[in-house]
Amino acid sequence: MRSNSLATPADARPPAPARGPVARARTAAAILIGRAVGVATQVRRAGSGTAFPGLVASKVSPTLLAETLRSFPDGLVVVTGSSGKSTTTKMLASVLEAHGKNVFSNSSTANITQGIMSAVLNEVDFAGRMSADIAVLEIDEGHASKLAPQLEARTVVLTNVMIDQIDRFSDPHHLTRMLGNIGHRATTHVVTNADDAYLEELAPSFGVDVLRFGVSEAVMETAPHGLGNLRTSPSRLRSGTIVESSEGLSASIAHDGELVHVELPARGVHYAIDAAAAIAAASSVLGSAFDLELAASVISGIPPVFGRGETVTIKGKRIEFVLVQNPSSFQLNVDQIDGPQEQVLVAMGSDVRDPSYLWPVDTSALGTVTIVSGSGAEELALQLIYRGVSIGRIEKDLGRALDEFLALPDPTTGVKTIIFSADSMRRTRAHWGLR
Amino acid sequence: MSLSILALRPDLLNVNGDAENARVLAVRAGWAGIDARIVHDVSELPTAVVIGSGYDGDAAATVEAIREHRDLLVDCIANDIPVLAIAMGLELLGSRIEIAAGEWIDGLKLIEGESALVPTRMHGDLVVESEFGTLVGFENHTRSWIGSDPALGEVIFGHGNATPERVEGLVHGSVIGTHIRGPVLARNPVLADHILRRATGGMYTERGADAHSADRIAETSRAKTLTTRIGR
Repeated sequence: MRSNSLATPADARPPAPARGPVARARTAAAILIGRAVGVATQVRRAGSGTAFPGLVASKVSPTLLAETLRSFPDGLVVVTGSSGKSTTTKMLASVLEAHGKNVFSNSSTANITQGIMSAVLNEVDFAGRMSADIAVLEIDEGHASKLAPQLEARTVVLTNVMIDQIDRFSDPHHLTRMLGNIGHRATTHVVTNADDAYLEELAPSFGVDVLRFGVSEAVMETAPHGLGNLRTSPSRLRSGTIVESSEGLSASIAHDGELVHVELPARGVHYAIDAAAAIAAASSVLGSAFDLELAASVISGIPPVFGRGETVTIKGKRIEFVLVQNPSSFQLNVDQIDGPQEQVLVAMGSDVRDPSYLWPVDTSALGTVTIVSGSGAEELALQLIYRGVSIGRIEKDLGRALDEFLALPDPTTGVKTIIFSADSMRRTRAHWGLR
Repeated sequence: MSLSILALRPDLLNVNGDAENARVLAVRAGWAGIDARIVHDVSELPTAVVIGSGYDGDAAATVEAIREHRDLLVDCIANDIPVLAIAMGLELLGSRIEIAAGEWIDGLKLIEGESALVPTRMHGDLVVESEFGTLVGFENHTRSWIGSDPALGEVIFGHGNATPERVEGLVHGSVIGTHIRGPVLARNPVLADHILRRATGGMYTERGADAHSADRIAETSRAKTLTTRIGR
């Protein structure tokens, strides 16, 4: 056919879905308008409006996102679940890049439908095609479930079922069903957490092979409050991708019987589990081309994930950031802190609508908290007090609390530690001019 | 005297930290110089009982699991032992619970009343005027409560029992039922102290200095909700 003979090398990728001129025009219009909105919103309010261009483009062409995500020659990998999405996605994308893949990926701030759309808009050409070989996307579990009918993913990674904000997914069965919806869109593998009993219940229902990751008996024994799963599977994994040991920033992971050492981006067994998930997912994508040693060295080189166990230096003072997103991560992070720290600031913002769900967290190991801050300071303080933690003082104004905390002389042992919710993290970063 | 505060099956009934109210009672008793511990043992009569709430998706299995402890609860009520029952913990004491549209399961039938599904989940601040004072908290439930016992109080803001009478919870002998989730006793120390006085036969008189400072923090938090919700 004439059009084929005119194909240029740039068109050597799969053609955009065969559609009429009106549909093609609609796609181009959606992309053009979406980009224009993106530019306009950035001019108006720097740093905001990430999802808005995507929203507009979706209105013009409702199928644009699904079509674009189907256009990658090596397909789409979806990472979803309650927690660990960002780290797993980052690790997986890096491992695939090290294996020579050109990867399109998104950030955790763009993991809902419109945010992904906006990220796509930055890279897509006017025929609705992307230059990358493969997409690795973390998708919010609610959005993943809604998008599922339109998606086709070669591999779906399910991290875990934990309780998020109570007024969102207050029922683990509902959450499990949502993860099932996206898992059923996998064409090659579902990569799933074997230690999560809810996910294990789902696993037999997937029509494709299931690759499992998990921890060893020995690792499970060292986690004083478990791994944060709402329901833990009765037995540990014997084959698959297994965290054999995890201590501080080091972990060893066995994959199909071969053992590698990895350095983690932050302290904590949950990062080792994310690494195991990324390794299992990379092996799913790469097949026989997967190089475990290469994967381990890439994972070891990943910088700390934004705000999670990250250490910053402000005016010569070293501070460790600990982001808490739900009760599970709060518990795991408290368990990871090396004994009571001399100086701890805990801050919770309005992003935690009802802090009741934090009450089961055993925070007693914190011992003393220097300052409790944020709009939810009182509620958080009550949780700590009834757990036997003594509180220096409550300063609701986070900026003032941060200044005061920073001004304290360096602790004689340990490091200044700030534990915060996502909203308080953003405010803290803004206060100190961090990216 | 050592108080034993029973948190009933917190593995099933601690969604939103409801079962942690047992901790609030034990810690406040400790602050007042009374030895107290949280127990999970259901073989002997405790000093007080907290029945929290479970996941709606698990309701049928959860109610079945708690049914095994029916005799203990009967004894507690007969012996005037305070029982704090929260959301599903309240619902399961009644005669029947609607777990899916038109699908009902039997409750433990310790209290007259039933819980019917309402079209949309009720979650948000709940403010109640009660004989203990103004109670403030967060409700998050999907069923109404229609019963014959007197209510815990009148709804000033929120849904409560979700009936036209605009009332919340119930008082049935030594049982207090409420939809206020999570640490209702930490946010409403008057209710905690009422339960402790009743549990100790008046031995709990002074709440202790630590309680004073905790309660000041609770008061600030309560005041914020009251200002936002009812302009008080």
